[in-house]
Amino acid sequence: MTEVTKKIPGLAELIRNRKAFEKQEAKLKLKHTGKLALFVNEELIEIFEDEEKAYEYGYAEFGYGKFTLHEIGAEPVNCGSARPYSFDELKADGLV
Amino acid sequence: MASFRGAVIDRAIKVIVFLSNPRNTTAGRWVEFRAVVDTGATVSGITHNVASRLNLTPGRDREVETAGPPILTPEYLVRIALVIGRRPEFQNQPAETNWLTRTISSIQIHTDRRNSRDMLLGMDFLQHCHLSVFGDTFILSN
Repeated sequence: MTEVTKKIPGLAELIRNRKAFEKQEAKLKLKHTGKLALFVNEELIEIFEDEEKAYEYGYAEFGYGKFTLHEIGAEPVNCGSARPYSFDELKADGLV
Repeated sequence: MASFRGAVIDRAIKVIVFLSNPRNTTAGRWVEFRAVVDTGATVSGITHNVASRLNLTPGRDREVETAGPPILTPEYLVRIALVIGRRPEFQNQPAETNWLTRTISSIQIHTDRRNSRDMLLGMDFLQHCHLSVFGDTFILSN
């Protein structure tokens, strides 16, 4: 069975915000490694230590799908036997 | 302590899970999917089919290890319910009686070659329950 070809809402924003985050990450790492940066429209809004609080703030202030979180200095995670679906593949498959 | 006993099939632990969008507060929006337990995964993962059917929106990104350089993938919050113990009647029994429910983060993964699972349950979920495997049987308990 092939993947459902329905675009994912909020994915384009996530990718745009990621690019904006990467431009600032080196500077943010100096003081905020391990914390979460909350971005809206490619702009850094707030930095959080706790993920749950970051989501609560984001939902309350901006709504579902209107903000994204990016971990500063994050270590890569392991997804075992699965193959992760990269941003580049999602774009190539027309899901962005 | 409630527990669920199942068969290890093809050396894999396969379970049925019910997933919902945590931002959708409407009752009864649980959708049934197939999951495979992977103790080698630090995070759980969902396929595009799950994200699409539940209308999930990614909340953050996640760098994931690969054989090459790490790659970026979207991550979603998803509400998961797993039957622990005898499967309850939906209408007559409170959900919390026999269900283990959690909100967890899941990265986006590809379907496997045989399309045998919609979700991969990693250690981030398994830390909420007990899992033992012996021979062709597994026991999941809370």
